[in-house]
Amino acid sequence: MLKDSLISRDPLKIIGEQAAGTIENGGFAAILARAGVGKTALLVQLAIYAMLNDKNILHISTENPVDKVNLWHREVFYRLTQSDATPQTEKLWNQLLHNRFIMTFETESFNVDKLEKRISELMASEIFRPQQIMIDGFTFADENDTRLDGLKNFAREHQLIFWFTVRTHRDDPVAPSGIPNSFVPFSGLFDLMLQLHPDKNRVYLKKVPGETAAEAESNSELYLDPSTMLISDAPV
Amino acid sequence: MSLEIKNVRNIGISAHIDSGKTTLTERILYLTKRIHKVHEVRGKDGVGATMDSMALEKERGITIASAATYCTWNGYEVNIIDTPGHVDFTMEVERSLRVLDGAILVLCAVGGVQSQSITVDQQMKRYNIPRIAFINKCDRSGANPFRVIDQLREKLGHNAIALQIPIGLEAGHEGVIDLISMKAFYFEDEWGKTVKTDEIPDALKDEAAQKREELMEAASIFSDDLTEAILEEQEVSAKLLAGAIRNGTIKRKLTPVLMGSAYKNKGIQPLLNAVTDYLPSPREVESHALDISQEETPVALTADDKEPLVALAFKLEDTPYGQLTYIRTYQGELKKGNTVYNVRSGKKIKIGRIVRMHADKMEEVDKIPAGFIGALFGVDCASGDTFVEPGMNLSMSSMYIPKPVITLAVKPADYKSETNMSKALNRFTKEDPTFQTNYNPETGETLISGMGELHLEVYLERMKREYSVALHTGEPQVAYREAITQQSQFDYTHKKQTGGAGQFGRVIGYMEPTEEEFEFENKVSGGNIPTLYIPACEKGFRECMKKGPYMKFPVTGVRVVLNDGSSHSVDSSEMAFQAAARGGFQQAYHKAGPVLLEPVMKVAVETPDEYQGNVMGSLNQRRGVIIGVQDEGVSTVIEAHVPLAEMFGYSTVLRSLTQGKAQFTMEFETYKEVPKSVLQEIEKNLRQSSKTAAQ
Repeated sequence: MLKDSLISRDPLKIIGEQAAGTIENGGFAAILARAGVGKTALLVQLAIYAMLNDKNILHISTENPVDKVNLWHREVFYRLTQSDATPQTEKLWNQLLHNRFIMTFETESFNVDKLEKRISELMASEIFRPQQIMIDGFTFADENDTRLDGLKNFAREHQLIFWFTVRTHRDDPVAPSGIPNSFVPFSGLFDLMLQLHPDKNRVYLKKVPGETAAEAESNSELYLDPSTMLISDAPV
Repeated sequence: MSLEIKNVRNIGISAHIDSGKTTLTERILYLTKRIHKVHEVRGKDGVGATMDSMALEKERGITIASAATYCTWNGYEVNIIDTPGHVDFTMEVERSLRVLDGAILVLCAVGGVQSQSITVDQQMKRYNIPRIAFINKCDRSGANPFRVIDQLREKLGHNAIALQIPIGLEAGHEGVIDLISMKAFYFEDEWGKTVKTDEIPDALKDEAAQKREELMEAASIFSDDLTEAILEEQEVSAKLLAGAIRNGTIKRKLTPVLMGSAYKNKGIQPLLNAVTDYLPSPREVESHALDISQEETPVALTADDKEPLVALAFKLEDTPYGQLTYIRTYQGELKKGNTVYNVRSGKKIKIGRIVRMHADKMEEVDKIPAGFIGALFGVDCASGDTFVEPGMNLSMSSMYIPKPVITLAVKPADYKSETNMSKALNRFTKEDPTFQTNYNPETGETLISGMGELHLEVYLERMKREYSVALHTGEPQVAYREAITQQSQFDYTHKKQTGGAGQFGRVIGYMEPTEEEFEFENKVSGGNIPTLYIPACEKGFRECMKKGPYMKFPVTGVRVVLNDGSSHSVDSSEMAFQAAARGGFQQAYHKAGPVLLEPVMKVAVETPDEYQGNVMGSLNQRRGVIIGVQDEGVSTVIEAHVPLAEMFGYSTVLRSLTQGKAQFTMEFETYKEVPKSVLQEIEKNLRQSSKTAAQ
């Protein structure tokens, strides 16, 4: 019951993207935002919702150690369940743990070859078979970066969905499509891009390209509560 | 003890096992002339390092007890509390941390920040202890102190900044360059006791200048004068820079990093200078006690001799001359002949002999002034007790004591061993609250419980060696617990009419799960159960918690609410209501969805890359849930939650899986429900063991 009531609040459903619907296996999705707006919080929420939908999630971080990532997950999970806290919460959390694997790298030692090798090993030894991979802290800097093409092939080959967090900058000019200029060269690879916008004392979520800021604002269900960084049902 | 308090440093040396902590301590004691000969931890002379005073520690090369020792350096008194580096002795570590004002975090220049360093560092953070770091083993191949500094920043979140750079590394490690005075230090003569100061070698001048810039920038945040001097491009004096570093360190916003090699006697004197220069005196640290009469509100203490006494007994040791109690005064002074009050036991104690300890040698003194550490003889108390001036009611903040997770049955082999064993156990339980003993009247066995396999093993060894106890031991048993998962009602009547006075009592109510161990609420109205019998009911319920009706393990987390009942004017008695409560408990318990809980440990395995798959496989096999994998360049740390029951003998398995290249640490995480499949296995074993016990 708890699980069902949680699933009904899946932010991807709310914005009309079924968790596994529009992004097909082999697909890429991104969360774009400036530093400190709540990329990781949203990524973790999406991971938890995917786990609730029985998807195996591999969470990769190049910034935080395993303990901290685990803490993120736990915190977000408990905040999500707070409204209907039952003794079952702990049980559900223990179940979810089986759907999750965290892998962390030091920023300097992170590379795509190593990552692919690790994931292949995990799958080959049957220890964990991810379906969705969340990468927090991937740097999108070099336009001629071939790493993403490599990952795309890897994703297609193993039928995986990749989510990335993308850090944008305040003074980064925005293309007419709504995508920050610095990210335009990569955007072709992505099937879904969500942007977090801080606006006075709230944060709202919009899809780029397509939805305009005005449209997003009219949709009252897409706000993030800036104090908890959770999708809030009503605008603050 | 004519010293001023500002010249006192109470420090700990804390580190990962085998990072050379005891070797470093040994060198410090030698250079401060406390000892006249250096013994290696695993030395050939068979004497062992001075701080490892127990025979067992010497044999294993590990430090178990936190012996406190003091030494003097440049007119400063430095008290060193040697803290154990193994997680199984967490209680011991935490108690030592309570009495520290500062610490040296020893790190290995090759291994860097390892999983154990993270645990120890977190503990220090919790007690707000300012730290300086010493990167040891710069003479080892693969040494890279700057990588370790990066790890300090990334993994431990320290604002770590080098105060030195090494002159050569690995086999070519000759000395260090001090970035404050911009001089090179070389260490000469036997045990490096002479420091030769020289100009910086030309090849290192640029690097030193660059690192000094970094140091000044990091320190400038803590001193306006320094910032001003930098902005105006004035020459920055060593004094100004050192002052800023001290300021940042005491605020715990900066971690100065020193380096060298304890084994090769390099960098020890500058480290001692750093202890006196940058770590705080007792007066610069805020200490708090709890006011028992005011619902434990914190009260600030001042390290002043004239204030009323507050002191903490942080460690007990049995010596040939009687019980030795290590004590730290936080406020006031502890004088020979004075009477003090033990807050926990409420007893008054007259202070007899006071000594200062140097590992296992001692020196008699008349008093322990505020902020100092000493030891008392012939005082009956437990560790963690607070001593105050009579009339005061303050206690040093109560410490969290974890519950034991593992139990072992022991049986003395002969009569002599039996008496010695009870002596030994009596002392160990006093010294270490996480170590507990129980007697099982059904099997006639004594049960000892603790925080892990190694924890119990050490006490077994100590019984053997120090008390010459011959023992038969059983297999270690996991401390299972029972709990209920839902609310359930009871309505039970206890009635007996077999000649003579009858027995009658009826209890009605319900039980439900709770976070607390046990709760009892009386909601009986109208005197249906006379108030006189309510405590008997509570007693009856509480008794059932000791041995659960489900699988005979202790029960935890039950709230009993008594609504109603009835009594008989003649036949009701306390005994009858106790029996009724027991019956009610049994009745409701089986309907309350009882489950069995087992302790689950947080396990961190540090392994070279190539064995990652094997290690994860081995954890999976043990019903482990792998939380994640942390890539650390040369090695990988695998974190998992594994039931304790599956971890017995894991060290042997891990060694053979990884050719001895991996190591693991384990600490209690939580209690979790035992899965159905495993439950049947436990039931089967229980039946078997009760059969054998019956035979």
